[in-house]
Amino acid sequence: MSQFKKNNTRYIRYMLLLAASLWVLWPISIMIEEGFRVDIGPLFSGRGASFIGEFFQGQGGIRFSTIEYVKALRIEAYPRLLINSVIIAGSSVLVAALAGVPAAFTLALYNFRGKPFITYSLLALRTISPFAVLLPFFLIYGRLGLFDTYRGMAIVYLIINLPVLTLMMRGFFKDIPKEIYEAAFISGASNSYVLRRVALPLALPGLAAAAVFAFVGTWNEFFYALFLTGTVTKTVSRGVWSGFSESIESFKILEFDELNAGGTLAIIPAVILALAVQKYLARGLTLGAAK
Amino acid sequence: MTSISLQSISKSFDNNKNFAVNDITLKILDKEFLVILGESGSGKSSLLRLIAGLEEPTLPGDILFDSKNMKEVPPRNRDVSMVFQSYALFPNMTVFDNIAFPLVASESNKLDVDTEVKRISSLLKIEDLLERKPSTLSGGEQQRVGLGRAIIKQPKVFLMDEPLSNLDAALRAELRTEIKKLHNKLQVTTVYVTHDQTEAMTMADRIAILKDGKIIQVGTPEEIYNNPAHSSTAEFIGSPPMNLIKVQADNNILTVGSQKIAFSNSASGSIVMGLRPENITVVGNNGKLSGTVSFFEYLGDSKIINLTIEDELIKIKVSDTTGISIGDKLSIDFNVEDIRLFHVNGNSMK
Amino acid sequence: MKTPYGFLIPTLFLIFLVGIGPVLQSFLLSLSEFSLLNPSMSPVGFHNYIALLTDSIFWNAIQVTLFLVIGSVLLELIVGIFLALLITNSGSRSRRVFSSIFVIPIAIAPIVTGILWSPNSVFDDLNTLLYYGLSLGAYIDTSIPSTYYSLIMISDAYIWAPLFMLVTVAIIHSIPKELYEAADVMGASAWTKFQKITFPAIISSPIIVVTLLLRTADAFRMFEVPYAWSFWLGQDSILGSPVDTVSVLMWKMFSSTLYDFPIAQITAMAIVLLIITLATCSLVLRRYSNVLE
Repeated sequence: MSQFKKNNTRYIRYMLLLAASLWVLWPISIMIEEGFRVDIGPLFSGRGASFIGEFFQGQGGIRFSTIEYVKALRIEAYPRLLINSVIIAGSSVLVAALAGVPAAFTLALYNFRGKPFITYSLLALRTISPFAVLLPFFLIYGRLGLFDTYRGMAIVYLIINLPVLTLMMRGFFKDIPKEIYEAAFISGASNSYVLRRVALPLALPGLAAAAVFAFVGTWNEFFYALFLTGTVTKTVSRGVWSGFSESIESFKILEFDELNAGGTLAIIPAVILALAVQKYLARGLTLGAAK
Repeated sequence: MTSISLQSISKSFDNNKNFAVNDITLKILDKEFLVILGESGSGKSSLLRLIAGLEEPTLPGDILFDSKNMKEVPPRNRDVSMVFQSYALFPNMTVFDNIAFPLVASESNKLDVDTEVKRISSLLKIEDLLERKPSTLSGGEQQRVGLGRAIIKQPKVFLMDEPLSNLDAALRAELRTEIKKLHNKLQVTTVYVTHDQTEAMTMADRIAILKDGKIIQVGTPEEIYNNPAHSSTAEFIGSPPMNLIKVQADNNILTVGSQKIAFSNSASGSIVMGLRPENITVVGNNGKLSGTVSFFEYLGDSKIINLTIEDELIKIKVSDTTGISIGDKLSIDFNVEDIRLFHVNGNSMK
Repeated sequence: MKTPYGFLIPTLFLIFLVGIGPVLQSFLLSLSEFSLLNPSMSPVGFHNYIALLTDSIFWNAIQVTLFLVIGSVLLELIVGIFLALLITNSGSRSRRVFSSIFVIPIAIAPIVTGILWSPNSVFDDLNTLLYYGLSLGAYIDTSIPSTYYSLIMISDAYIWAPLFMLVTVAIIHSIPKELYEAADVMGASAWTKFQKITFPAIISSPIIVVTLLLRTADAFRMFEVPYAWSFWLGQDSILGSPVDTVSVLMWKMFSSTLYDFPIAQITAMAIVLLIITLATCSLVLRRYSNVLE
């Protein structure tokens, strides 16, 4: 009897797991599939029409087509947006790492006045409402000519990347046993030597994870991109919304299949990278609270 | 050529509510091998870390190396070496790089790295391991590397924080001898922290016994064994430790339950009598005390009789228990010179 | 060792550059009358705040935000715990496979989620199925408030429930095995074990509290999904529409020329939102120090 019951629970559990997977994958699969269709209708004509057209009424103007992807990839903007996103996210993460790693080292090893201030500021920066800083950026960038530049965007994204890099790295440095640091210091090594030769090599997988994590966060960011990028530096996630297949300078009303093709192309790199650092996701998203 | 002088050193980790190290004054002589012995939580590691500079004293108090005040000197400039219980080797470096680390890391080094590592590794018999990573070594080998890393920079002072506690018994005995030999050879002032009385007794020139952040006795192993200054010292040293028996003292008579021992002393009232198990002998009858055998403990080379004398349980170390069985009445004898008396609060009576 | 203060300088500089500096300027802006058309600032004290607090559009936005924040964070928590329980009770292979699937949404840009859960996608499938496939003649009307509120919550939970799953899995793994073994010996049922061991451990874990607070602070600035929905519903130019979270409202005021760039008022709103965030942060930090230090 208990064998039967056990099998039964297992069966139910698998059904639930499959249902949950469906919940995750179904919308994505629709997006990918829609991207492969050409829609006769105007903006947001939707998918029901296509379904009905094909299966229930035997008519309608939907055909399988790779045209949206081809357009996005070959002709126009996607490669350009991709390069923009990589340049902006990459340089911003690099700056955040250069500044954040020594700070993380200090936060991990030392107690000093002002330490709570730094931690609090970083935490606040991570959760701040973009509008609280957006207008000053908007005004100052306009004045300094940083609007729609790689430099400007890399600086803005430090709001996301600096807390992530610093607080995650602080956790990784703390994971190294205290005695290792003490042995190094007693051996006569200076702080920068210990950081470069002892701490950083040991925390290198962590640094890679934090960098990838921050990169994905920047890649996905929409808000700052919406306000501060323009025709030169438009990123992938903004491009999803305002159009891939046209040249990026222009604005046009989107069609639903085009939107979906763009969405698919936008999430592929992010999903691959996130799965690569899967082990560290919880840690990154809770800023080190969950290990 | 370094003596260390601690002058009323205190350390608190909770804003002076509790003190891990409580007002300790101690002089460690040049070339001396001083063992700090104490149970876990006695503050012995904190004391060592204060000497290393890894912790800063809480209240005013000075740490002097010879006559130089170390207060403002960071650990890296104190010219000390430390060996850790957890070995604390750098897992990403080879054994060679680990041993060479102090020479490579400090700017002031003038020694040749290659020759020094060769010399040290042959001294510690780890020449064959130089290319390996620490994680592939046994605990004993790792601690040898740790010792190598400590020795190579020829420091003024060695600090050892329970270096053998993570090793199994056989290796521990082996490395114990080796550390002692190293000390004899290098003649460097050494402070060695342990909770293991055997290590303390076998290695120390002097032992400092620490309890609740305070030193309760400093002396050579013989002094500590023969004249414990406190009942807890008496309990700490010796295997099995000293028997501590509650007695009534009156007019040069000590009364255990209802049995009386003549012993000239100045005490009166409730006190504690200390008697080492190995100083007691079993006699047919007419011993100074008698009781009932409760149980035995077998140690291999010797045996311990647990004897109940009225309300007290006394351990007697003997080589042979033939003819004695549980429940027997037994009479015991000892020299009254071996008796040590303590106040009820633990302090020794002199 | 002496604290190497030099190591902190670049980070401190950047915190001031992108954080404290702009926030201070925002605050100054919020205390003055200012617009892009009329860029001379004249101080007006807290006038903007008073105007804001007496503005029904703002209160509507606050209500919408609170409603969506509470709804989506709760939904995320419940779904996350549910997924975690499913995962931890499975074999190690299926655990790996399914948890890889479940974390995918975390990597999806929120704006793409706005597309994924648009009325044109999943709900067209569902409605076709309901209306034609099953011939029920009923369908989900995505244009009525209760539906699209739920849908916005669901799409936010779509991204973030996996985070609660990951955190919960970490907590469950930290529960000593001996507890379950002892319960087994005493003949406890799976439900009893969940009730008496697993659930209390999850709920009392400081990690889950920190995660909840961080998510709440995040949810207050919820933008992309409601933003997308304001397009699906054709309400992208109407101030105070039912999908206006505070962020969306600010965006509308900002981007539409109709309202004469009321920048001072937008910043005042942003500062109010910031205060909510900072308050949440100090709550987090109080917990956080227990979790990390």
